[in-house]
Amino acid sequence: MSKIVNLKSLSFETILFKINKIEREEPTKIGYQKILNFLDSTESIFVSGNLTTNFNYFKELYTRRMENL
Amino acid sequence: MSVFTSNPEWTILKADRQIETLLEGDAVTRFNDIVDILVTNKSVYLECGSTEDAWLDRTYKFKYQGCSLNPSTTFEDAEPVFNRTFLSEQDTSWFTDERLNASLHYCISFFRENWLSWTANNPGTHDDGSTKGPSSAILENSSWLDSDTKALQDKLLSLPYSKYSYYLKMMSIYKNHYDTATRYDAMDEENKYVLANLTSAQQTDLLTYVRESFTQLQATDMVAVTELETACEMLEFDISQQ
Repeated sequence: MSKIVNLKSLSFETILFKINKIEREEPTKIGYQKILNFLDSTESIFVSGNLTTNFNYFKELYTRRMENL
Repeated sequence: MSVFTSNPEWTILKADRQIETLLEGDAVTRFNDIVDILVTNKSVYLECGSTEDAWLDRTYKFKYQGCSLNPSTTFEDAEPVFNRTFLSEQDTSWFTDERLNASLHYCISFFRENWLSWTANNPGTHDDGSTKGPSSAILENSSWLDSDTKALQDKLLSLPYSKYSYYLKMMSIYKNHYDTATRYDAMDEENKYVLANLTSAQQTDLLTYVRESFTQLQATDMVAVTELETACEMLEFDISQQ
């Protein structure tokens, strides 16, 4: 199965919950890759909410955190 | 002089035609009307070769659909097999896949009845306008449920873990935890249990089943639908990361 799925119904509250949960439970390169996959899976939610800037910010933030490990 | 008796096959034919006609319609009482026909003609169905089990499964299928559309305890009083006490007294082997599905939906329809009844007697809303509902303590020990529904819930949760257990637990989680962080945590924990205990095929089947099932709730419980889809999407993502 592809690591990216097309999620459409999550609220931003749920998205933030999930990102924080993964980071808390798996503060490793694998965990951060999972967060990036999750962000890619929810991209259409950010786009439909006109929040592409926030999406890009999160992608850069968690990419940086992964690279710093 | 010969005695003319009606052919029981004709009675069955007539009953089945009535059932077909009801199924083609959209009356809110159609499933309950079908159950009425099946219960009224039970002895004739058995006389014509249907087994008690086959009759039960057929009737039960309509019964739970009737409960979702138009809750009623009429047949619970009339037919012992629809009694929640009867169901909660059965052992694991009695619960075939079909009966588990029916029992689950039956139980959930009583969840809804209990919830509406509780909130009607205990009005109150949160600041955002959502229904306040029972306290965590009342919810955790299921005392908001009547004893028959609680017994059925406990029975279903005591059976080997399956997509039915997941659905039932999700219905509790969304009612149990107003606080979003607590609720999402509970969903996430349940999803982790699914990943650890069900096979890949069972996980996919679970997602399909829950999504198909909750679409039936749309008319009556939009909050539940939203919550269940949230749980499903989080699970769908977790499955993809394995």
